[in-house]
Amino acid sequence: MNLTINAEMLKVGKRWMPYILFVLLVAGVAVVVWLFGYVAYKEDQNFQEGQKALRTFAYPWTITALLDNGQFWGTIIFVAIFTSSTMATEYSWGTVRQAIVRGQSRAAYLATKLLGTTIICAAALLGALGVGLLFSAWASAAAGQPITLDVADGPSVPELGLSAWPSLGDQPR
Amino acid sequence: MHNSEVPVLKTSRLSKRFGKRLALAEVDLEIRPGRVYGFLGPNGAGKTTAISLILGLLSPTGGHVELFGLDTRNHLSECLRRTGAVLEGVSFYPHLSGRDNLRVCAAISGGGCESRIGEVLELVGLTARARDKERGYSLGMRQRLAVAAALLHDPELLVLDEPTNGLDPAGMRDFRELVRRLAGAGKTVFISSHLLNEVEQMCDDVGIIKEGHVIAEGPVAEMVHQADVMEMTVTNADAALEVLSQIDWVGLVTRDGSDRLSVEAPRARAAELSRALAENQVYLSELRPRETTLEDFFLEVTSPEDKR
Ligand SMILES: Nc1ncnc2c1ncn2[C@@H]1O[C@H](COP(=O)(O)OP(=O)(O)O)[C@@H](O)[C@H]1O
Ligand SMILES: [Mg+2]
Repeated sequence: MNLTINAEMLKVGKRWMPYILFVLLVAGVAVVVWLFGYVAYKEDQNFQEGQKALRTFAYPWTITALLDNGQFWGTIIFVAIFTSSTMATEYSWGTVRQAIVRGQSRAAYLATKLLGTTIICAAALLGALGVGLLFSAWASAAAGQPITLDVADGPSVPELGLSAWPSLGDQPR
Repeated sequence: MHNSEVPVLKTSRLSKRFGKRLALAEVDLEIRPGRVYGFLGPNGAGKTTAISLILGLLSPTGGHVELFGLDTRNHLSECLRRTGAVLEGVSFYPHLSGRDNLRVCAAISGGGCESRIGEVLELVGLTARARDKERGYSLGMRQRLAVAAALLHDPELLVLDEPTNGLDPAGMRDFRELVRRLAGAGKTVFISSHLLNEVEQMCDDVGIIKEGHVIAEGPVAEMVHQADVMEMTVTNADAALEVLSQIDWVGLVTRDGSDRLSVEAPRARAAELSRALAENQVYLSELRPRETTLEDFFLEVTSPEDKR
C-alpha cells in the first residue's frame, strides 16, 4: 500500500502537469490578495468599496475570502481534470494490466492510485492556501493593518470557523 | 530445484468463447521446467487469448490452468508471484526513465525487489541507457525493459507474448540471445510468435496453434527431422534399388530421377548403407539426410484453409 503510494508520487512528481497546476493555483491566490485586495484598497477612494477590498486580504477575513473565492474553488475543477487525466493515461498506457499480472486486483490498484491523487491534490490546495495567507500577511503589513485572528466587534475565531464551514461543502448551518 | 515430474505450465481442455466466436478450443499444453517453449501460430490464432487465460486476465469458458502444479483457480496470486509476464501492447510511463519505470514496477510487485533493478538492467543490456526517459527508447529497448520488469521478482516462469514483434533483425538476434541466456539460468520460458524461424532458432519445444486448436506439439528437433529419409545420388540406380531391397532395415525407396533415390532408413546407419552399396559395385556420389524444416511442417499443417 505504502509502496504503491510512493510509486504514485514518483510517477506524478516527474510530470509537468502538477507543477503547472500549482503555479496556476498560486497565481489565482495572488490575484485575489494583491489585485482585488491590496491594489483595490489603495486605489479605491470609496470607503465602502475600500472596506470590501480590505476584507479580501486583511486577517482574519482573508481566510474566508481565500476559501470562498470562486477562483480558488474553480481550480478544483482543474484538480478534477488532473485526476481524470492520470486515471485515463493509466488505462491507455496499459499499465493496469501489468499490475494485475503481478497479482494486484484492479480495484486495489485503482484505489491506491485514487488515494495518491487525493493526497497530491490536498497538498496542492493546502499549499496554495498557505501561500495566500502569507501574501495576505505581507499585504496587511504593507497596508498597515494588524495581523490577528481577533476582531473588535467581529466574530470570534470559533464562529469564524463555522462561517467558513459551509464553503467547504453543502453542510446545513 | 525443480521437480522434473511436474510441468511448470499445464492447460487442460482450456477453452474460451467470445460470443459466438470460439477463440480457443480445448487446448492441452504442457511445458517442462527449464525449457523454452514456442507457441506458434498465425495472427488471430488465439495466442494472446491463451496467455490471458494462463495469467488470469480472462476467465476460461472451459478447462483450467495449472502453474507449478497449482490450479490457478485457487492459487492465482501464488502462481503469479512465481511468474513474470510481458504482455502484448503493455507499455511504460514515457516520462520516466527506464530505472524509474522499474522502481514503479518493483513497488507494484510488493517491494523487496528494488535491489534487483541494477541486476536486471544489466541482464537485458540497458544499464547504459537506464537514466534516459522511456520516451526516447527504441522498440527493442522497450521490449528489453519489459523483460527486465518481468524478471524483477526473479520468477521461475516467463510468459512472453510476441516479444519480438516489430524488431529489426539485430534486435531479434539480441532478443534471442537474451532468451537463451535466461534458459541457461534455469528459467522456463513460454513465448508466443507468428514467426516460424524465430521459434525454430530460439525454442526447445513448439506448439502450433491454428484457429484456436493446437494442431501439433513436440520438441523442435523432432519436428525438424521428423522423417528419417536420406537422399542419395548413385552410379547405378537400378543396381542400387536391387541392393536396397535386400536390406531389411531399409523402408520405402523412391526414385527421384535417373540416378537419384530417396531412402527411408535410420540416419545412424548411413555408413552401413554406403558399405552395402559399395560391396555391390554401386558407388555414392552424394548422401545426405533430408531435412523436413519446421517451415515445411508449419505450412503443411496451416496452409489448406489459409488460401481463401
Ligand atoms: N476481447 C475479445 N472479444 C472478442 N473477440 C476476441 C477478443 N479477443 C480476441 N478475440 C478473437 O479471438 C481470436 C484470437 O485472438 P488472439 O488471441 O488475440 O490471437 P493472436 O494473439 O494469436 O493473434 C481472434 O479471432 C480475435 O478476433
Ligand atoms: Mg496476439
